[in-house]
Amino acid sequence: MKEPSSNKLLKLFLYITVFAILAPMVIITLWAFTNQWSWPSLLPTSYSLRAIKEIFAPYGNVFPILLSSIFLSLTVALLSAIIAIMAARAVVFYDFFGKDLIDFISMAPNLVPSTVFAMGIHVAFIKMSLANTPLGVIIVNLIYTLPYTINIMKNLTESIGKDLEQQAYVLGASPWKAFLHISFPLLLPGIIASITMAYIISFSQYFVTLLIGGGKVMTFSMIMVPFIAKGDRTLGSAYALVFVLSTLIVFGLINLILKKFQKRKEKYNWN
Amino acid sequence: MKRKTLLIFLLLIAILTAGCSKNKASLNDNENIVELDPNADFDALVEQARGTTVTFYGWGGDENRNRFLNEQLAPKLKEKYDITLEVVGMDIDNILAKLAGEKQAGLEKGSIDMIWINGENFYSAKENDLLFGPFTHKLPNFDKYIDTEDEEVLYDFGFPIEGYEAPYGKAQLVFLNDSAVTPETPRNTQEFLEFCKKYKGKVTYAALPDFTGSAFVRTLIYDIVGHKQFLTMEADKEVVKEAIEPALEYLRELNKYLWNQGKTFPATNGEVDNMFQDGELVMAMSYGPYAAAVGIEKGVYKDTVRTFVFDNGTVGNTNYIAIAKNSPNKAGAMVVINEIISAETQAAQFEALKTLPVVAYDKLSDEEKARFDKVDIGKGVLSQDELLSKRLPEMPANIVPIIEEIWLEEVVGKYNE
Amino acid sequence: MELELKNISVTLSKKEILKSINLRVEDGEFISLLGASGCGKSTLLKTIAGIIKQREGSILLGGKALDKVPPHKRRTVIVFQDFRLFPHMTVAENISFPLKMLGLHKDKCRERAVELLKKVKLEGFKDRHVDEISGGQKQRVVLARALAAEPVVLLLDEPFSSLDINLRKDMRELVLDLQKEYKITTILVTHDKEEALTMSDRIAFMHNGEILQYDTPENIFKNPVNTIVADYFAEGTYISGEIKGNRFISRFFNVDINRDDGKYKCLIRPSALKVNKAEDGKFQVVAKIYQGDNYLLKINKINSSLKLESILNEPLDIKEGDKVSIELDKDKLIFIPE
Repeated sequence: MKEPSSNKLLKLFLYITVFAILAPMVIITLWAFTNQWSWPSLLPTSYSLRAIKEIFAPYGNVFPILLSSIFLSLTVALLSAIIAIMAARAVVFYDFFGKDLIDFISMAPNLVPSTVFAMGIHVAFIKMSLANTPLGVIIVNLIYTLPYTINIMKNLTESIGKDLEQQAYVLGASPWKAFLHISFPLLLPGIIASITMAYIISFSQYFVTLLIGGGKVMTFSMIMVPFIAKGDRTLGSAYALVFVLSTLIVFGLINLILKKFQKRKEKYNWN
Repeated sequence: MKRKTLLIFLLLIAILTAGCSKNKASLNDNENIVELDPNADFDALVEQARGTTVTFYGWGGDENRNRFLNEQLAPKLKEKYDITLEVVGMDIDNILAKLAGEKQAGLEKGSIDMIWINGENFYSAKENDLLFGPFTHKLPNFDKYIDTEDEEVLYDFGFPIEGYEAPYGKAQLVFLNDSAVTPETPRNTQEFLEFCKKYKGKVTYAALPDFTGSAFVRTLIYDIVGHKQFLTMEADKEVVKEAIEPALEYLRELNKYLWNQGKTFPATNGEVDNMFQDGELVMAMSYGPYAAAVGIEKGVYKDTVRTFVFDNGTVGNTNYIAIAKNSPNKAGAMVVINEIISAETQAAQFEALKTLPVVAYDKLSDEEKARFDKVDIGKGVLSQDELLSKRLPEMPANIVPIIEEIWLEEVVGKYNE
Repeated sequence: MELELKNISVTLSKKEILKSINLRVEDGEFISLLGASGCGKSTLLKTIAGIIKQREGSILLGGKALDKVPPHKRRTVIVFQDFRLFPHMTVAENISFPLKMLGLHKDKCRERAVELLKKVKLEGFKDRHVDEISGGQKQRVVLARALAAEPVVLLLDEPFSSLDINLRKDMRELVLDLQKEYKITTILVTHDKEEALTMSDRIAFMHNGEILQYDTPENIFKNPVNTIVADYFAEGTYISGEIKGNRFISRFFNVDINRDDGKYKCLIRPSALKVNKAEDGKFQVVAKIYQGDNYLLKINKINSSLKLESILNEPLDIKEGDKVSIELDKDKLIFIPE
């Protein structure tokens, strides 16, 4: 039984949250079609399809770049989740030298200003022939996403513990099967969180991707950011809209696929 | 069991990365590397460049330019020379950072061929040995169309070019107002102060070191203390400060009447432009002399927007194309640059982008002249003649940052006692 | 199958948990590992199952060494105290899990799960989620799941300690019934002496990582090898003395006993002492404590440091401060060699 007042407060909070998300979306959508919107008009004073035409213009390759950008970020997100699962298990379940250091090192790229970090890694990547390659961009993106995904997975792995897997072992499950049937489904919410988190970090990564990708590996941010930086609100909003919508679609698909996977695992015909 | 897991994991990585590299394979390899023979004549360069790819790195925030390069220049290059032009949008800071990184790593075959550049960036790139050259003397169109004695062809922000970059387009600072809102257009700094008083809180400029804001401040300085002295001025903070002291006083006086009383300034000229579009400001400025026409055509400006400049003129500069020292395809880059400075391309660019052409009018044939003449530059702008007659040269590149520093210390939020 | 541990030593985090354990469990036997918490009994169980690796020694199952066999191939199934039901599965899915691991077909799994649910008297619970059942029901599901794995050795790690006392009796009976039915070699880890005494064929008493005594419940209760074992089952008063020529001689009393000569300690548990009210008794009741079924009497010898305890089954009219005489039940005296 909740107190009615706390319920109201909760609702208010919910409305504020929804508003805080929806209001900018509405404004961005409006701006994407706006020509002039002078003060104090409540709605744009004139509309145009300039931005939409620009985005769909064939020379810009916006959609091929969007697709390859999604593919790149998905790769980063999946790898990031997989590495995070393994790293979290290593850190939580095993004792080894320098374990505490890992936490710190994984945070380091986020502590150093990204420009400084990127310059250093750029030189290193050139020497390793990783600069200007998708692989290099994936690796550098991973460096930025892993601290987040490892932390998510670490907390979850800690809370799930090893007990259930041990139970599975003695019930005849190999370590791999125990992981697949027991830990994986339980980690799934964290895996979804990790993938979405890593995806959004990678997808919106600009400077580091730009430097390591060197313009050879194009991502959506790289065509979007110049217009935002320039202050072109119409084009900036249109690109942002595509950014948000594509991300929502990708998240929807990730959720759908993983949930389906879980359902299938869980179901196996009891009716 | 663990080994199996590892194997699956590795396989996954392999599949994913293979997918990626397949996706981008054509962009990724360096098969187009072309060694440059220093003694080759231009025809040989054209031959050498055939079938290659040239990358052009530069600011990507102008959709008109992106479209022009991709839809007009690139197909023409393909057809004429079988060269594939790859336009990559990247800020000059990042381009230089990339070049510096490549140099530090000792990469001889880099990823950048052509760079859109000028001013301080050219100065630092050339000083740091990041550029290839001299090369302009090898371009037939350079002699044919460019006024090789022009100050702006010899010097970029007072820094000798020495054949390391070829002119690409001309820019000039212009002011914009909406004639329906403010009928008057100040013709000098004195009138500008009156204008600001009248429209108190509705004028401002982008905080330095914004490119446009910085040029605006230099234009004001020129109008107050003249411009000639700076061309030979020593790049010393005290010297510069003394020379511009009357202008600093003027700027501090101006602060009282500016937007937010000059306590803060918009971070970029883009913001200033947005505020002007929204009617929050009565004046905007642009480095694109035909910004009014472009904006009206796009529909972001009202039809009543007009261009004006000071009687004594405004700062103008040229932007250039340079070639990276570690460019993998210097021959191709030179062929492309030669094409860009042709009368044909310059005219097309003038038509599409409304940038001032870099070709010398009197070197053009009648036919070519006609092409330029018939370009309708659009509404609300000044004629090319008027602009060029009121064009002031840029300060030396090394003085610009000093002024920006002094502005931050002496002008922002400061008032005369 | 019979299980044999030879010289098992386990070290965890540089601490020696098990010291050279030797233990043999016959086929179908039910033994208990009894001991206070921290004595290493759970560790021993996990070592048998292969979850913990021994530093030294060898585990033999049916004569074959298990040391290189991974846990999932040992068929040594542990039932843990905290149930460890898989939270994302239903009751039936939990029970089917080991069957699936055995490679059984889905239909077969289902059939067998239903069968096992019947065995643990939980028909109709198959589609329940494991969060929706009570503690006792969970315990039954856990048992059914363990049986589904077709264990060769069933390892029960304090399985009843998280249940209500009333439930424990039922569960113990159920476990014993199933154990008899399937004739599974079973090791029960417990700290509850009643549980060990009532359920097991034999009890291995563990202390500080060692097995102090391994014997039938009766023997271990009556003939503990040392005071630690003796005290664990029932504390009392020790009286030092000596046996010479089949007679125990001490400061307080002498008694005939058929033992080898030597120094002994005689343990007088409360149950070995009978108290009678007597005006001229040499003992005095200092406390009378109600314990439900009976009373515990604390008795001091007058003018002596000797303190004894006795169980008083009927209330009688003995009160605190009364003088009493005592009587020892010779058969219940326990002699531990020093």
